[in-house]
Amino acid sequence: MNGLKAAWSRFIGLFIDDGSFAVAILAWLVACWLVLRWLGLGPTWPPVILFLGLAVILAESAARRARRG
Amino acid sequence: MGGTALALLVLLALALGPALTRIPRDLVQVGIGTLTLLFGMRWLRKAILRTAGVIALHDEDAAFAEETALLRGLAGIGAGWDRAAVSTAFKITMIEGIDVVFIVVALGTAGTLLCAFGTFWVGQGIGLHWPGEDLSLLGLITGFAGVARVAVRWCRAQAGLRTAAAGRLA
Repeated sequence: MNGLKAAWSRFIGLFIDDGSFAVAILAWLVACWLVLRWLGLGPTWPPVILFLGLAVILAESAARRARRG
Repeated sequence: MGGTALALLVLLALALGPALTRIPRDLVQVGIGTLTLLFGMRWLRKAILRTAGVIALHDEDAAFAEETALLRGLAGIGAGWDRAAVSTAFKITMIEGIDVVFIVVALGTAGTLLCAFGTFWVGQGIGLHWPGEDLSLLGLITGFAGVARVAVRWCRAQAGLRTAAAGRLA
């Protein structure tokens, strides 16, 4: 049982090592899914917005970690 | 333990493989894309922090303990070639030499590719239309690589500010 628990935590650890970073990514994906289709922005902008949000989350999270040391 | 894990993986593949074909493609794209993105963003973030010098490129204590245990196992086995010496010499000249470059380049590159593919699949899964279809992957790869470069500079600046603040307090 402990072996399974350890294997499960290792598996989860592949995708998540900073909880707030993972939550921010998931929240942004859900927000894009729910909101972008209703904004009527035309076909070009929604993918750009999806990428820009992820880029900001990545850079901000790395910088926050750098500030913390 | 290894055998059990392998058997479990085979069982999972046999059980879930056929089921995948029954799930709508959009959902599969969103699911796989999300996992790829989480994996890739984690890697890219780590590569950024390593390149910026915020986290260590190598946990030297852990590496030393692991290598010592390994070499103890090799020492004194067999005649002729000293396996421990050959293994150590090989590692010193080959692996350690390329370690830092490999970690930064491989993690950064793999992270960039995973982020690009993950974003692309999630976008397709939620019904977005990528300009240029598959070609937009090149744009995403370039975009994430550019963001990583900017983030490395930003992280270095942040780490510098932290060090300066700590110096003032001391």
